Amino acid sequence: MKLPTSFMGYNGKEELERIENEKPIKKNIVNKVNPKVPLSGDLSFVNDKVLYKEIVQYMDKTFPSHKNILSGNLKFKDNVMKGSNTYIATAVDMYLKSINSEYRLATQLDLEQKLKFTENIYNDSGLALRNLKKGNKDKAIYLFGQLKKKNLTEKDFPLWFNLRNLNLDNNLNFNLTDESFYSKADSLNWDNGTNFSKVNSFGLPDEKDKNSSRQIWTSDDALSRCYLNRNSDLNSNNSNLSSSDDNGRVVLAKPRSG
Amino acid sequence: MKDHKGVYQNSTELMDLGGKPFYMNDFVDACLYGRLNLFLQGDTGSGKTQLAKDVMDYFPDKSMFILGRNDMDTRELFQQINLEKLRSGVSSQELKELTDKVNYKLFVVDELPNSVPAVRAQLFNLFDGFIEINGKTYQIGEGYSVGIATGNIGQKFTESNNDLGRALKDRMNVTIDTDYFKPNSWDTFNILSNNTNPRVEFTKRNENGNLEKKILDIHSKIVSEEVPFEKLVVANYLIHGLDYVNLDGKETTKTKMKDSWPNAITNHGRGSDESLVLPVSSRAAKSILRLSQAFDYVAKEKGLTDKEVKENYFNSMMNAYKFVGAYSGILNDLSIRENYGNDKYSAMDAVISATKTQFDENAPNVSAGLEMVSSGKSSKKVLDRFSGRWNFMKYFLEKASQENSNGGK
Repeated sequence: MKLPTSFMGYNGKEELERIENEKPIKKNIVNKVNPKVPLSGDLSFVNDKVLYKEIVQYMDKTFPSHKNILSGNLKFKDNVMKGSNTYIATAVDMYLKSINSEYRLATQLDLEQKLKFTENIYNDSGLALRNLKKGNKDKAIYLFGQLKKKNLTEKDFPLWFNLRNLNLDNNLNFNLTDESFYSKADSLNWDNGTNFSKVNSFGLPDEKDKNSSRQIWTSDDALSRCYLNRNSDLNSNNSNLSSSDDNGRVVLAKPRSG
Repeated sequence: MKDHKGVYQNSTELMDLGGKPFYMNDFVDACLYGRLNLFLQGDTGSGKTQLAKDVMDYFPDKSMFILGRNDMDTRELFQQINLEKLRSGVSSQELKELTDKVNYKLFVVDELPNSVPAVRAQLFNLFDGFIEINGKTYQIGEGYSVGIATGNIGQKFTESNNDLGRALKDRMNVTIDTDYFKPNSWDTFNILSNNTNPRVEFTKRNENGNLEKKILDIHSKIVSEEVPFEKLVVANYLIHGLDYVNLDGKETTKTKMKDSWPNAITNHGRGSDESLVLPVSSRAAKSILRLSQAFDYVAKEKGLTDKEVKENYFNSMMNAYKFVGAYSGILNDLSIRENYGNDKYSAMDAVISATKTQFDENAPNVSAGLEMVSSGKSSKKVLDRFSGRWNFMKYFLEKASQENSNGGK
């Protein structure tokens, strides 16, 4: 058998060189983020049409007034569920919990551990709460009302929330649960476009790094959606929580057994 | 075939290769080029017999039409092909002389399911170029023979307890549902306006011996030429990659799971290709490769350049996979019913879409692996790129590297 040195248009020499010279992404990740959050494992998209239908059914039944924001933004095409926004990702997580699925919505830390998996798509993973004044002010105040009861103040801003384990109510407000994870994250107020490489224990940028190609995009809106974009940059500068397109994917994580 | 105008007319597109549409006639040509037995599955009156009859014109004196009947025995079959002396105790030498004289290139069996199992077995043997007498096989013809059979057995294809379904899967290389790709209204307007004879037309319409020569020439080229490596990787993915299963963290194969597939596939593996399709057998992989090679020749006849054909190797393989696989028993019938409206071709399209994604993601790694072998290096970084359903490629590259370092021995 004669072996070629290229494959499907890819030059073997170039690809070998690229792989050989690839540096592993240095991460500052601790194993235990929150005892109630399972450790990271395999990631997957919703590529089960039956599950997709169940999700749509759940969304339509649970949030009948918001079909245009939720199920209306979803489609199952090319063997995968397409579409994602803050509400969709949160609702999918709520559904998975309701059926005791072994899958859950991927957290920012899950995604950071397998960045390659989300290349060329965007996927929602969190919320950034920066103030109570600008974009999404009402939703920010609603969320902050719950934090005040836990003795947090505006001095603790900016705050990061995993969408995982948040609950939506009928008005699509975000409600904390006992399992919700949130934490102060200074990087959410870094200059727009700051380069970074290392991430902290819950997957947010930890140190600025001029030499890295990854960037965090920020704004001064009250409540912003956070997602990894197609280049694995962290976008936290978008206050439109409901926009969605075909490049969006809901990423699920399956905790490793044991 | 463009040099031949038959009675059957169907301009419904079956597939596309490099922007060239393939129709039913092109598909049948490809099966002849590849010497692949073809079963035309379809309802009565759908035109499958006419299509098969048209193809007989390619081999004017070397094709045989047999009507499958449940009262036909093997003696009558042998009479039809002038081998009636076979049962009268002749010597092996005489048998050989007799069978050598049978030189049919094409056997068309209409309504094959009507024939009894013993006759059916001999018909399949004829398709493959031999007959079996008293446990011995005798080659017939001069190296090329192929069969086209028609019938309508619907879902019985995939019933494991169905002898006919098993026999068809075993001996027919390609099955196509002619109802699924039935002639469109343009065709039927033309057909009905030109001819209202409801019978299949058996009049020989073409005595062009060049068609036979052309088919045999292309066939011998296909047989002798080396299969492109890209196609071999695809074939191996279909054999090994699609066999891979991760059951709650435990790596296994669908082959090992045996009857517990697909029910034991958990949660989100369900609905994905993991629970939708079994791997292909090595024999089916050969049919896929052969059909793909034949598709390439048809595409060239339609104007594709060698470069364009090469660029479409993957698509050619996927088209071949679709048509070899759909009725070969690899699909999960329950899932087809529940998720694909019982449409096997749609299910195959879904598997192909997932396969394409796999190759898009892994092609750079494969090319790096090939360069690694060629340059005599061993790179853990490269080999580590292959995991899960791509373990087969890791194993191959490791072995190829070892072979290389041993001087090719």
